[in-house]
Amino acid sequence: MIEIFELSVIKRAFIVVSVISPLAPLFGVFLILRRYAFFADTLAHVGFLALAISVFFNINSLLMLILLSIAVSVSVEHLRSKGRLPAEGSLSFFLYAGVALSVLFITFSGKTGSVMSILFGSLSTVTKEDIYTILAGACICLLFLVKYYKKIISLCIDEDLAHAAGINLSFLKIIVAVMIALCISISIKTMGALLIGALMIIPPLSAMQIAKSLRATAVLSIIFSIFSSYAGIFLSYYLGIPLGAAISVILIAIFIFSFIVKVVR
Amino acid sequence: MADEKLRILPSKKGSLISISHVTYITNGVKILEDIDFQIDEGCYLGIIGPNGAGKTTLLKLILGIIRPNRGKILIQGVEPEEYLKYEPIGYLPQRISQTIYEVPITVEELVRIGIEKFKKDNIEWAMDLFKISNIRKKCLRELSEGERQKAFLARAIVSKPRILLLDEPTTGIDPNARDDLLVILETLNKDFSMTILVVTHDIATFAHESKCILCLNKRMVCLGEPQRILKDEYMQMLYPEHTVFHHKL
Repeated sequence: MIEIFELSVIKRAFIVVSVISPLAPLFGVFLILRRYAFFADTLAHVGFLALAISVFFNINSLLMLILLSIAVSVSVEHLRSKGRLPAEGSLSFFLYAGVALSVLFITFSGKTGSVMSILFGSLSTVTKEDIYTILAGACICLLFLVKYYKKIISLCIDEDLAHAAGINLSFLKIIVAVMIALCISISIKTMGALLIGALMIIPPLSAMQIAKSLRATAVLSIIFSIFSSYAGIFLSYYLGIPLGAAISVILIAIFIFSFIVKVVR
Repeated sequence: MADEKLRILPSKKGSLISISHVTYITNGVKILEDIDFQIDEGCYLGIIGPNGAGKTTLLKLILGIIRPNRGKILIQGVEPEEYLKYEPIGYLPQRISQTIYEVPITVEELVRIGIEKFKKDNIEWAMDLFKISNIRKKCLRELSEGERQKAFLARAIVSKPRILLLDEPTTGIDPNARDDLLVILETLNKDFSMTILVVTHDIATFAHESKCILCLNKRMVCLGEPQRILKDEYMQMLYPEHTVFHHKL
């Protein structure tokens, strides 16, 4: 049991999940409130593309991930707010474009073996250098949440109400999109492109089954997320399964338990 | 006949809200045309008109949610966006997305979100006013439509705004609660000098309460004191198919 903590990849995995697991579900609460969970999926698939490009050109993947995710999130929000494309349409476009181009880059790079860790996460993909970028990204997300928490909830409840309260909606919507992109970018190497959405959406969805307030939903989401992330590391290490899949399996179990509690109660 | 405009209350300079020759067109359809009037501070204005008359659109224009194609709207001499940078406007929309009832948000959380900086006194005052302090810990999804409406009304006034815009505030609430609401609005108008604009179909009720009535049917049909406005000749312009008042029966 102790030997697991002596491995540097495990130490790094613990550091990463300690910062991303409380953040991801908080953004998930906003996405569920706005009925915008698909946004996380789209950005995750764009993340897949960024990692594929990095593999192809052999460049710093995390930086590419952050830049491309932010560019796409701003584009989607811009197209949506200007009414140039329906929200679902623009999200679908970027999602499919991300997947299709990723397959091209991965195929031409000749490193198809890396696909598993990109899609489903891995204990070993986070490098020492990545840790600093992830910590910096997490700090920015945290500061943003502390400063704008109330305004984001207001925006999620009703845009017109938020406008009447004097909130600058166009600025807030863009900055929320950027922060969600940043949160997904710093989480994707651990959770995998296909499963980062699980860490954002399943904890709040589970918490909503039993919580009686928004505050309780947020707190429970964080608890569920941290627990499943730590437990997922052990599961991934001892069973040899991708980290994202291990964490997601535990999250699914928590959701089923919460749902049963709600039904029984 | 419907285009005829009666100006009973003359425009005054230095008004709180100034609406100057505003026209709003969307998708090639004229929703509002040449709306031109001023609202003084402390005014309690009822806005009536048939469905599609542009009542909700007018509120959204005042809020700056949408912009007029022609004309301009000024609040205290500045555009709504500029005014909102310094002071919120209390607003109760006609419809709220049903999504928020799927998430466990309590009454207190909803009211608290309506105010930028935490002020316990304001939150208590707003909830007490609408008699919802006893259900403060309840989730919105557990409440009746009337209770939800009160929670959103409390949220609208929690920052004690100078301007309060209400779109169909009596929807879903019972007659007793409606009477309570009218008393509250009168208190807010008189004691707190709130300028209140109410969009309503409940003409008979607000005829007694508001100081001024605006009859809208894409254009201004008439504007003035309720007793002078709510006559059959003007109501016929708004609702030609129906009898609005049964006082001749």
